[in-house]
Amino acid sequence: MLIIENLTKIYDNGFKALDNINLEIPDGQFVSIIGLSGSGKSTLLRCINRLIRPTHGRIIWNDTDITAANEEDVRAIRRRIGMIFQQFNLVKRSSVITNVLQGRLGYTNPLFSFLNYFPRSDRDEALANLERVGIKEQAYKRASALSGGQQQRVGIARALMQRPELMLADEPVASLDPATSHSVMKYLEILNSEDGITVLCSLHFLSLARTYSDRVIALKDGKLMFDGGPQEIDNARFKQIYGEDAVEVQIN
Amino acid sequence: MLTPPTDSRKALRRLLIIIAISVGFLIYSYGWTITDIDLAKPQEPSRQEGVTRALQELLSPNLFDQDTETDIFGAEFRIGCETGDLPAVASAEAGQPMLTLEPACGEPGDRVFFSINGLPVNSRSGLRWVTASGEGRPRDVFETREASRGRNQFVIRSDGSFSGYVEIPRIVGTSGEVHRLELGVVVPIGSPYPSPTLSEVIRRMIETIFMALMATTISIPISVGISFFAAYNLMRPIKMQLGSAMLWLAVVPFGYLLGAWLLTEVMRFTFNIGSFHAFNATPAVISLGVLVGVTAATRATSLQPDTGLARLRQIATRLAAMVVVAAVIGLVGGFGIAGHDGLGDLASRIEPQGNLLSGILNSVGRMIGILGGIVELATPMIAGVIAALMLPGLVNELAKPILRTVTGAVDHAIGAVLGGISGAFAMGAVAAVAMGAALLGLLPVLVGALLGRAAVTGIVNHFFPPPPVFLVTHTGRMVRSLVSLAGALISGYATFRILSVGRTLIDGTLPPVENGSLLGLVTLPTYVLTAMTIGLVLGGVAGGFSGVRGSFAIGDLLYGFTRNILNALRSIEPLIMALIFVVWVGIGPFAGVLALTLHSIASLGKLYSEQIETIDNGPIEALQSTGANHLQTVIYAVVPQIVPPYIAFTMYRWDINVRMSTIIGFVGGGGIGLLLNQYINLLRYNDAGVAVLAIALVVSVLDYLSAAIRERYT
Ligand SMILES: Nc1ncnc2c1ncn2[C@@H]1O[C@H](COP(=O)(O)OP(=O)(O)O)[C@@H](O)[C@H]1O
Ligand SMILES: [Mg+2]
Repeated sequence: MLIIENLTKIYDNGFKALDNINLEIPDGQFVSIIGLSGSGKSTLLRCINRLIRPTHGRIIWNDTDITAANEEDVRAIRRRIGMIFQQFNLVKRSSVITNVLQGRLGYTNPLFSFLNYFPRSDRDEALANLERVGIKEQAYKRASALSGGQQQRVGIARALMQRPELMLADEPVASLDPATSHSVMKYLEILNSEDGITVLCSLHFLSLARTYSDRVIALKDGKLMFDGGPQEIDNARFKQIYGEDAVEVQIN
Repeated sequence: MLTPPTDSRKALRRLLIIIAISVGFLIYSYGWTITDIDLAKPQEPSRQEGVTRALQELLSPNLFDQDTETDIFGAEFRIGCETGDLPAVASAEAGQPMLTLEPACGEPGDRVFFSINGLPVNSRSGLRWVTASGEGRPRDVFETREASRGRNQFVIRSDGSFSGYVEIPRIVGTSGEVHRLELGVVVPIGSPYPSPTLSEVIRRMIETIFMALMATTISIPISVGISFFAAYNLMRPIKMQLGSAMLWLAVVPFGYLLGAWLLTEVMRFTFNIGSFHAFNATPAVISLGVLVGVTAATRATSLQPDTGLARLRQIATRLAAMVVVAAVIGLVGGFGIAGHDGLGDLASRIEPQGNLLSGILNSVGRMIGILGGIVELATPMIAGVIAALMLPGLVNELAKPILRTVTGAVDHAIGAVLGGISGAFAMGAVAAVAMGAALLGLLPVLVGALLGRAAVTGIVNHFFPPPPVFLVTHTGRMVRSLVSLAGALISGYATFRILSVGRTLIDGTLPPVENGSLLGLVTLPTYVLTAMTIGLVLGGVAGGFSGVRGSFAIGDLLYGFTRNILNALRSIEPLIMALIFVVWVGIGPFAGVLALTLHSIASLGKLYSEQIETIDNGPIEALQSTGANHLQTVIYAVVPQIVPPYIAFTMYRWDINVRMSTIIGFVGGGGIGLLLNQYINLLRYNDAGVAVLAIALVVSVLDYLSAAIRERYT
């Protein structure tokens, strides 16, 4: 259970990116976060794994107060929270398998990292995870040699190495074409349904949110505008979230 | 709102422009004068002659030599035609050139025609008149078509012939004697070989290239290490709890002493194992086994719940790591010495002595012997540094639960104690350095000012807690920094007065070395003790008011420190550094290597760190989000990204180092510059030409190579 209470983030320049957000997300949900660019989606996701320190409010996950944790506790918490990114954020010059193994760094003794050493079991698990996302045969290529969709799947495999209970996805398909987008979203859906991983996924397009999520959260200017089932978003709601001139488009 | 400028404004602006131009002109003409620009000088005939000769010789480098012998061709001649027979014309062997005289007799002062054919083309030759008594005198030639090269030196024509008139020397009383005209022709024998100058230049050029190679390679690992500390994007996020930072400073000196005392034994022990001096395998294997076992036991996971057991394991890991590092360094040193002896032995047994293999063995042995020797000599220091770096972490691990939870008066009390101790140590350390030279006396003033600033900031923040960043107003920030600045100035000035830095600066008197005792425990110079007292007070106030809970931007501090040192070092030219190293280690390539190394460290450190600052931040964020720590993030997300630019910049630096090492010899730094300097001072421009040619060649080849390699990696 992820509980967000009165979460506010004011950046150092005084910009209020999140304004008193309250949410409760039960384990196992697939939640989409929608909203215009700049509405605070990334800020919200990054507050959850403390890549950003919130200004006010609390985030409580499985009875741990993430906002109050010290550096080391934060690392322990992050190990259980996977994250994938719009730009994939792979180390391009490293091999695919190395990128995937990096998901285990939180569990590895830092001294072994000097030697680039991972236990055999980790290597096996990395290959298994690559197989799961369908790119096992690419394991020893450079990450930069892969297509966008494949790179994002490497990102998913890396997150899987953490054996996460919660997956944060920050616009995971915004840099991909529609067909690839669906394949990546399907993998997230599988993780959610098969492994019971809670997924929090920010998306640009409402149609993707409608297809894949149990629940949609809409942000506008840092405020929570909507929280409910995907089918509850009618035209009026849509215009509320995206502005009067917006028209819904289908991605397929 | 824009208003068109009025006429008077326009006029004023014009006037200002005119004044600016006139002032600029004055400054420029002053520059012309003090740089002594004089266009008449290059046109003076004597100077033109000088430069022409120098250039001519520079461009006629003495590259090759060839051995020569002088072939003598002679023809006899009688003085006075009326007496006796004409000299018999020597019959030449077939195909040999023969010198003929026409006529074969005459009076002194007459001109005689001589001719010869079949000589080596273009060879140098000279004519000699040999009297009956065997005395020879050089003769000049008249009406010849041959080129003359210097006085009485001739070049044979391209058809191999030489002819002309010589004058019979006017010697009294030679009538009736038979004299000889001798033509000496210089002919090369054997093939041309490199001149001694060329061999020397090549030898020195190799030395030069190796100077650059050594300087570059030695500086690479050091500057790579430094570059991480000089990269703002990596350092800025690193924060430390204030209490931990103070504890760290307070424990470092004890760590050093303890390490020098404890780890030295470890290092000595392993050193002896390595060098087989006291080889007793059993205890060595057992102790190493134990160390490996302890490390393995602590390996399982890095992050654990914050329990007592986990903490104990953490401490055990650190202790083990400390001992292992010391043991490994000691062992390496021991093997170095052993390897040196062993290889030396091997080399001495090789027959014949001085061949390539024994030479290689000797140099390799010498190198690892020096490395081993460094470890042996510096054992206490290395051990101290290892412990000084690791012990504070260990103590911090122990103190963490306390430092994290204390509140109120206890917080401030602990802060005061830790702040006082660390302030005292910091001041003590810089004061010890300050006793070395007058200018260094400013260091304690600087540290005193920083501590004073921290103290005043602590007081201000205690009574007027700062608002969150986004609420800070411009005025508020100004007032706070002004107050802090005032604190810094006051405490800096106080330190200046108390330590009498003014006297040191003006007449160069260094602080007296009279001793006082610290709590009856250690004896230290009173100067250092005074400085420590200042540090104790200021640090105590700072720590007392701020407490231990706050966060300390240790990353910022390290970044600023590293950057400033790099910038300062880079501003000193390698030539100047070489001057100092020449004083230290004597004239020769070693001084040059040291100077180039130091400068390369500064320059590469800066270039490398700038590369780190431009890397893609995405992977760093991604790894942080998996729970990796700082070190792991650097290893996996930063290092792969910086390898190509690092290679490119290293090649670039190697290129610069070759250039620099060609001239560093001018100040005694060894290499080709030293030789070139000698040739120029001896006005041996032919030889200097060889050196210049070699420099041009090597620099351009390396330029091309480094560009080609850089191309591949950028
Ligand atoms: N580091 C920062 N400093 C100041 N403002 C920021 C920073 N990061 C983001 N913002 C601002 O916060 C707002 C929300 O950003 P973000 O969470 O990235 O939105 P989204 O992901 O929905 O596009 C944007 O207006 C952005 O300009
Ligand atoms: Mg975003």
